[in-house]
Amino acid sequence: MNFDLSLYPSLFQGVVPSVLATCDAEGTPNITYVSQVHYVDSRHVALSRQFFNKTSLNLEQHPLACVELLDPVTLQPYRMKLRFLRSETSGPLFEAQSLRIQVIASHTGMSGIFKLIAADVFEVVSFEKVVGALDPSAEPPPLPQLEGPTPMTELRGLQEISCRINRTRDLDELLDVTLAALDELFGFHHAMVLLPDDSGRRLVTIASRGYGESGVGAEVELGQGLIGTVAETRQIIRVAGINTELRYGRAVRGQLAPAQQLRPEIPLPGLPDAQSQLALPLLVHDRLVGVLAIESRQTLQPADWHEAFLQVVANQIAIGIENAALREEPEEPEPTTPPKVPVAGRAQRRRRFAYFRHDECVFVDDEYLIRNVPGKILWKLLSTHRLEGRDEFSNRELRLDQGLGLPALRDNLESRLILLRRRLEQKCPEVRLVPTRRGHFRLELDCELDLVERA
Amino acid sequence: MSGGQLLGLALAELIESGLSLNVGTRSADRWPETCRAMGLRVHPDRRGFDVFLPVATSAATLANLRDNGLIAVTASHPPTHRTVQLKGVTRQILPESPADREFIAQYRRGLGVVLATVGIPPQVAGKVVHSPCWRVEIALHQVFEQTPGPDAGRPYGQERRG
Repeated sequence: MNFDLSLYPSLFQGVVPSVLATCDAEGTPNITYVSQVHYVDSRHVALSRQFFNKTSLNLEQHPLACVELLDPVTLQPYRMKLRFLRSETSGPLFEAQSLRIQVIASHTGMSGIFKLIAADVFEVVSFEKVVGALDPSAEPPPLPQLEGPTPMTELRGLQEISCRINRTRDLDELLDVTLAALDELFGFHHAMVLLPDDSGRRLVTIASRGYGESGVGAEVELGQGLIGTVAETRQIIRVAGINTELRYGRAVRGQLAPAQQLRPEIPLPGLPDAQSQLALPLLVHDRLVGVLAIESRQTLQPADWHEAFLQVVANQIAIGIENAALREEPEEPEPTTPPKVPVAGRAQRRRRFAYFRHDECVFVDDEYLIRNVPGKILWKLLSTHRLEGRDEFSNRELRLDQGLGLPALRDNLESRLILLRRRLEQKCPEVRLVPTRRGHFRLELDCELDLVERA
Repeated sequence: MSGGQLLGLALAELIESGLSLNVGTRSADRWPETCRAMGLRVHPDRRGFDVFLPVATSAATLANLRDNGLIAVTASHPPTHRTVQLKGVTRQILPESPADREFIAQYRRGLGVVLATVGIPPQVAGKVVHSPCWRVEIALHQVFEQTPGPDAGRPYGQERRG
């Protein structure tokens, strides 16, 4: 029979659950929902098996099945007759399916409980559109307006984004330019870059676009949710129809025995109504330097073909982060930014900074600001200013300060300063770190400071 | 019309309330087949039910039912995936009556409301052909829990494992 499954990518995104019919050795039919039918190649599909159930038993006894898939936009059904070939419990197909389930399990508090047992591979014996299922005279459904370029303009867009990145002078600019280009050239309005923090157990958002003030500083635990799983496994993961997947996960959670150690469901970072998510590890050699995460309110965006060019963009970001971490700033004698002139006669606000030594956290007016190395840096700057009246600082002196605990190699100082600068812009714009020349910056204050240090 | 299993009152009300319905059958040479259904009506004695299959899309399913009568029907609530599976044997296949048409139209309106809550707009759901249908009368033999999870496939109402 003549068909090519590769022409129907939207059927295999798991946006609408599919139904699978089997029958047992006696010929009794069984029908069940499956959250996703996975495309393997133009003639093969796979189903994820999380539990041993009647379908598994039936397939062992009688390897024939029928599945109906729905186009997520039009609800046009397609039917496939399948012949069960084998169960895979390792390898690339198993790993890819396992990652998606890991993400859903993590979000729904079922890590280690809801997991993939096997990827069941089927030969597709026939594939047909169910003719007559939709009324041709009814009002046509609105087609989703996918933003951004088609694959034909992908290369030109990639060239443009690459040029923009190349023109950037530092990591700060590189992050902003990249996220702006992804928005303007490709229609990805919601994106963020996260870096591992000092503990290595968390990722912190260093740059974001499309999230308002809630973006920078947001944290994700390693192994938690889509972004944490990408960081832990260093694999690209894309989840289309995230709401469908979460509903499926919640249904499973509701069926699990209370004795099983379920954790509370964790909220998704970012958009509350995201329909799809894609996260890419930022790798230099095999080392994780961050994660690029993109969300969309459109179910089918990002599409399959986006992954390839986003991988190229991710590589450029990773190299930029690595270069910034390795770069030693040459001394430049002349400042390029004029010193700030204090505004005379303006009443100044008081801001109270509290540093908690125990967990290395800084709060401003009782609101959390920043922690770990960026927090220690801020405290050093504010304390030095208070004690010595100094407002000019250099990266070199921060690197030499043993108390800050920066590693000798790849200290990521520049990215930590970016995070600190952006958190201040959000939470306390009266305190600013203004770059003056390479490797130097000035602490500018438009407020009176109260500094409190606690154990 | 009666089958061997009595459907609980609460469950009977649940499965008539705008759930997504799918039918599984198999052919003489045991190829399974699926088909969407456009309504399910429980018989007054709750030992059987009617399921409505669109004429346009159910040719293979109808051929299977005429061959061996064996049928499985899942009824699922899309927002929660709460699902049950009913198994039974076909007693009769009839063209829809005017009263059936009204029942199907009512089912379709209910399903449209539920689908809208999972992001499927009414103008998309409204395109799905729902008439004319065959009315398939079924004697109920077994009911199974089918909500995704470790207990999917357990006879309905039986205590959970573990």
